[in-house]
Amino acid sequence: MKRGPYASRWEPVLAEVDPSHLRAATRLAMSGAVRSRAWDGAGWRAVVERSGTRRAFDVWLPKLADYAGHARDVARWLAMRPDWLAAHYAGEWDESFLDFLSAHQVEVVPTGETAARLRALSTCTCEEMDPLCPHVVAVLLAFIWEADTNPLAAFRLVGIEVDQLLDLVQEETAALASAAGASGRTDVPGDWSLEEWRKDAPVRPLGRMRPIVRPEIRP
Amino acid sequence: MDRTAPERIGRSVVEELGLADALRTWQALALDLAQKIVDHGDVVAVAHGERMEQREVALWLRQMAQGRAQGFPSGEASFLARWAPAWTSDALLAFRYRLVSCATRGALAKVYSSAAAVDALLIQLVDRELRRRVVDVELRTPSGNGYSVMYRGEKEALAAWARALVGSPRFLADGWIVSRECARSLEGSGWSRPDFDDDSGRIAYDLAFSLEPPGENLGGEWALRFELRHRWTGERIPLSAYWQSPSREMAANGDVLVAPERWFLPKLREAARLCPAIASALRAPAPARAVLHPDEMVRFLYHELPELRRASFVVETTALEEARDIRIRVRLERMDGGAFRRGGGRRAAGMPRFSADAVARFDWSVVIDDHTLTPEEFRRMVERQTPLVQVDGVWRLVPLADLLRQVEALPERGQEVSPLEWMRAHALAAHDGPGKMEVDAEAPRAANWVDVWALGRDAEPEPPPASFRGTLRHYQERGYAWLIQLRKLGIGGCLADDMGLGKTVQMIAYWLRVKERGEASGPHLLVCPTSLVANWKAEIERFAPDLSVYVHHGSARNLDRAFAPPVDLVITTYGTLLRDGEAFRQRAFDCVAIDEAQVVKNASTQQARALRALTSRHRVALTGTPVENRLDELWSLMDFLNPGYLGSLRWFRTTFGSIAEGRDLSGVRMRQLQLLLRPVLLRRRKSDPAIAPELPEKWEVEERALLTAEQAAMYQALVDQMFAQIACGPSGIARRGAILTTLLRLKQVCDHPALISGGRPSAKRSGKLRSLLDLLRVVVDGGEAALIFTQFREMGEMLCAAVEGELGFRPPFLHGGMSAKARGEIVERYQAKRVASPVLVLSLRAGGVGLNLTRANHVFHYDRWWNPAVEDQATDRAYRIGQSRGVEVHKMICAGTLEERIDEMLRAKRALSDVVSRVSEDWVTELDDEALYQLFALNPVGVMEEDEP
Repeated sequence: MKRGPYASRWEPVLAEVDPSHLRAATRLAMSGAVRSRAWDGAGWRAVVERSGTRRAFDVWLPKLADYAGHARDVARWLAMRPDWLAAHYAGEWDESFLDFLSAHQVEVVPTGETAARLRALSTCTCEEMDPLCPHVVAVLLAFIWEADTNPLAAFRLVGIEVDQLLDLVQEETAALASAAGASGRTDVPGDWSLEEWRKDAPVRPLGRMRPIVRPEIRP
Repeated sequence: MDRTAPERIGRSVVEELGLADALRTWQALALDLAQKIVDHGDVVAVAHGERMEQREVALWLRQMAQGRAQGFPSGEASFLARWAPAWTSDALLAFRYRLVSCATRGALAKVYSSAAAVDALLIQLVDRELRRRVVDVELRTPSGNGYSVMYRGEKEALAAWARALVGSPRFLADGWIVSRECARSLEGSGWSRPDFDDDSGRIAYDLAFSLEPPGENLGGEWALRFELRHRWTGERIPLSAYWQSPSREMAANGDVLVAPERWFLPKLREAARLCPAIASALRAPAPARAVLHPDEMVRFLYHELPELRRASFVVETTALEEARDIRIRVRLERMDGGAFRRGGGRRAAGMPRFSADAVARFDWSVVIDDHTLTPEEFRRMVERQTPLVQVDGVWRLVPLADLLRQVEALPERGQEVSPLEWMRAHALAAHDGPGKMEVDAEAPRAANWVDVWALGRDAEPEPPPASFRGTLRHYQERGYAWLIQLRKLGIGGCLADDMGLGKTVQMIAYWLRVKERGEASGPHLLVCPTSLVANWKAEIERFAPDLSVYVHHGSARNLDRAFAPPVDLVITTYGTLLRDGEAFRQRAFDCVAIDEAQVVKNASTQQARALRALTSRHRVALTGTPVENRLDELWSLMDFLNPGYLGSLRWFRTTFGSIAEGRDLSGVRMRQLQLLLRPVLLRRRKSDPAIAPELPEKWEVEERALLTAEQAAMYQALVDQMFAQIACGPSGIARRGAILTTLLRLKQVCDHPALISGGRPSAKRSGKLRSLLDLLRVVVDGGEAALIFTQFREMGEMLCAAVEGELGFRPPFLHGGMSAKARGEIVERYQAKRVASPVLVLSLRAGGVGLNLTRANHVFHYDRWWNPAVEDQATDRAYRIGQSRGVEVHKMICAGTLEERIDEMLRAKRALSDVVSRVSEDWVTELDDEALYQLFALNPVGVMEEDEP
């Protein structure tokens, strides 16, 4: 499948996965086998359940780093660069954002130690001896693919939820806007009526039953 | 995410009116909306379970529409019929959005805690309102054609449902049928829209841009303000307002927008791809406006703004309008000037060299919608590439590049310009840009010539010269005044009247006027084809006998004779000019006029070069065909009259090449060329409405030709021979015979010497034939047709051959040797234009009577018949009923011969009319020897040099 810019950054990590495990993990992730993802404060729990089999495995994926205490810092970056935020809402990665994260070794983007960390701390209830079993990798792929079209979701890997981050971004933006003395006011009229609306409101008749109204009342 | 911000929402309503009042106000609006929904018919019939609560109904409709609800179980059950809003109108849906935001995001949330509660109320209000108005329900089939197959019990169920929509809402029906019908009715309704519950405001708002001007400073920055604009009310929320909000909610205009950046940031990103200034703003915190530097405005206005609009972005530019009225106001301050033109000088490559001296100081300014830009302001606009001017508080967009190109065609400010330079600049600038040219009328010293030439008005009338023997027609007066006017300005001109309109008399009047006012700085020079020398001389003697003329032609010529004492006019031929070029170059003439000016159509010929090398104060060209084949001919002509006026030949070809190729005949280039030529070329046709009424229906022109040396020698020998015979004192009969024979022979000699001595019937041997061919070419080029009458059959054959050799077609020859049928056929084919030749040759006797030849409007009498009645009869072949044009009668006369003398007698002495009205030529035989000598003698002036071209 076609990889986006974010997924491409994960290629060195995925290259360390056993190819057969990676193929199996890809199949699992694409078939929607990764379910019930939940944050437990230290990492992500998930269930990987293949359809058509009775077996389900509990997977635990460690957080790549702990940025929960730095969420406001991340929000400030984003407040400084609304184009990165715009790309997020457009479902795309801004290359400069990705480069920024890499350059500052923000572990949302894998570093040289990411593979080792995953291998050392990930757990799965399957019998596979390799810690990077197909189920662990499937959960990882689900996160990566989601982040490919929803960039800020990548921060879930370091313990920051998207909505929380966006609220902080707004706060930071408001602080910056006030500091910059941005003009503008919120116009809240106390009085408004439908007459202000344009008169042209074309409608489409629906259904089999149409009313026949009194001519004198018809507008 | 905290999606409630009670401290901010509905503040104005709640705080000022209190909860109860706010509720009342809000409910009144809800009722208003319900009425509008019913008014518009935006309703759908639904039904729900009897025990379902109102709020559940709203949720159920939403789920049903989106295919998420479980239908009612099959089997008969009791239902309630409802009219519900269909929400197919985006405008009404946007109003619902406002009602929902207002109710659920403030104090009213105590009453209406969710959108479903508001929807429940609206369903109730719509149902009540419509039931108040409905009288019946129309049952339609899904396809609308009145027929469909129904399930068992469906018809009854629908009927019960329909009754319940008008009367009591309760009805019994099968649950499956009711569910299915509800689902189908709600398909395509607003309830099924994925954004039905969207609270970000995208359902009612668009991202829009508003262009804001700088302050008074032209060099200030413009701003493109980012706004959220209500799609139906036009209400606007500046984006800065949202960025200042610490929560991701914003109340405005009664709406509450929750996290609207979800949709406006991607939109802003899309706009940033089209506009770098927006992209730049998007890279800074809280982007609320893009800054546009003055030097970015051109690109923004002409490229990015249209791109944004094409991408459906609303960009308001209320502070900016297209400049409606752009003028280039020219100011000319007259100075004294006027001097001699010295021909033959070199000029810098590509730079026009103008003949007339500078006579005015030039200045211009640009006026935008009545606001005059100082030259400095305009210069700054150009330097900064800022196409904007502020007029009455509104910024006007000026098409600067086009305007600059137009202004660049004008002389520099403060430059001293000649009328010719001004005319050229005006012609090139007037139509090649957005600015209308106007001359500052308030400038007191703005010369009259500016009006006259730039605006194409007629020249001021000039009184005709007192010594002119004759009367100028009105158009001739205008032409003559035009020539005088050009002279005053030192501008050369081309009088391009049709043949027969009297170019000659206009030129003669010009010379006379100059003489009378004592303005001549030396003799005038007229250069013409040899065949026309006699004509000119005769016309001058007739209309201006006061003009002293020296014909510089023939073996005894000596140009010094024209200058000691100076004569008024020197007439010479193109051939003589070429031979005596050095002598002419050493002299200064007042006015050099060239007749049949098409001879200079190729600027590189020796003749053209010799003409350009002449020194004169004024130059005039006379021609009936200023352009015969190529547009370059016009350039060559102008290069003689006003060197440099039409630029270099390369520039001329590049600029006006499209016209030469027949393209762009109504475009800018054509208008430019017309404007360029209008002041220096006076072209009038016989068919012009202003001229045609002045022309007689038939008029006669005497066309004089010179004898060739061969003709002259033969003529003289015949005269000598006759006098030798009659000197012997022969009998009366023999004397008469000798005279009549000589008369016939002399006429033949004038026609063509081959008629006497045989040999090649070449046009070079006969001055008259050469002259005729010149005239015929003009007739044929003008698309006209001609008859040529001759009394000699051999001459007729010769004429046919000569025309064929010269003009490329052989005319038919109608003569007495033909049968009546053959003659009839020739006439019929000629009239019906079934012969290619527009010329028909006729023998005077055979073709002189009874024929209808109205196709022709020129009649040439190649040789004279001494009875005018015979000539008139022949002329009337063309001038008769059916003729729609004026008929021009050309009488070919050899100068200095008996043809001319008899013509003079006919014209000057009407007393002889009884003599000449005789049919025969016997009267000549009755003259005494002295009178006979006067009649027959050859005047040596009338001889053409053999080597003339």
